[in-house]
Amino acid sequence: MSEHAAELMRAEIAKRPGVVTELVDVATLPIPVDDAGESVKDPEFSETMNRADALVIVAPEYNHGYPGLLKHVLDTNLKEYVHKAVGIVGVSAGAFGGARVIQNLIPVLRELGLVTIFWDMNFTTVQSRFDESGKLLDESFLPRIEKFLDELCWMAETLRYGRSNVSIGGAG
Amino acid sequence: MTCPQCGAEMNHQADKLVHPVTREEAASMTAALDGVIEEVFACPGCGRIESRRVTETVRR
Repeated sequence: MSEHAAELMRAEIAKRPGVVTELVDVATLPIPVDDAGESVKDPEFSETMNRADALVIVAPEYNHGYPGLLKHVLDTNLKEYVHKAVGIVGVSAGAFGGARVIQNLIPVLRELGLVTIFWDMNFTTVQSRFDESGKLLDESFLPRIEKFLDELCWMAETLRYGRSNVSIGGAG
Repeated sequence: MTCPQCGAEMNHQADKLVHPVTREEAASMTAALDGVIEEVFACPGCGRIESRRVTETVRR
C-alpha cells in the first residue's frame, strides 16, 4: 500500500519549479542479498544517488521497524549520501502512520551522512487514503506535504551550496 | 581532487568515519578514531560526489 503514497509524493515534488525527481522502487533493484554494504552496490542506483540533492524515503512499517530490504539497499552507498537532505514518509494501516518506522530510520540515516528534516509525513490508515487507482481521497494531506517539501527543498539547496563551497575543517 | 566528470577542483566537504566491515579495513583503521576516515568531495561545477579512504596502519 506504500506505492500510492510514493507516487503521490513524486507527483507533488515534480510540481516544484526547477526540481527534477525520479521514483526508485527498492524491490526492483538488482542487488544481491548474499553480501551487504558497498560491495554489492548497483551502479545505476549509485549514480542516481550521486546526482540527487535530496531523498524522500517512503517506508511502510513492519513490526515497528523498517523493511529489511530498504536497509539493505541504503547500506550499498555512503559517499553518495553525505551532507544531503532526507525526509521520511511513514506508511501504516494503523493509527500511528509509520511513526515508529520514522523513529527507527533516523539513526540509520544519520550514520549514512544524510541530514534529516524536521517535517515528517504520516499516512495513517493508508488503506482508506487512496482509491484503487491511487487517487488521494483525503486532500487534508496536501498542506502538510507542501510544508514537508518546503523544508526539504530549503535543506537540499543549502546543503548543495555547503557541499560545493564550504570546506571541512576550515573556511570555505 | 579533480572532478572526473567536468574537471573542476572538488571541495573537501566531509570526513566520514566508516566502521570496518572487512579484515583489510580493520587492519588499517585509525585506533584513535575507531574506524577509517573517508574523505568526501563535491564538485562545485556539476555536483558530482567522490571520496577516498585515508588509512593509517596501526602498530600495537
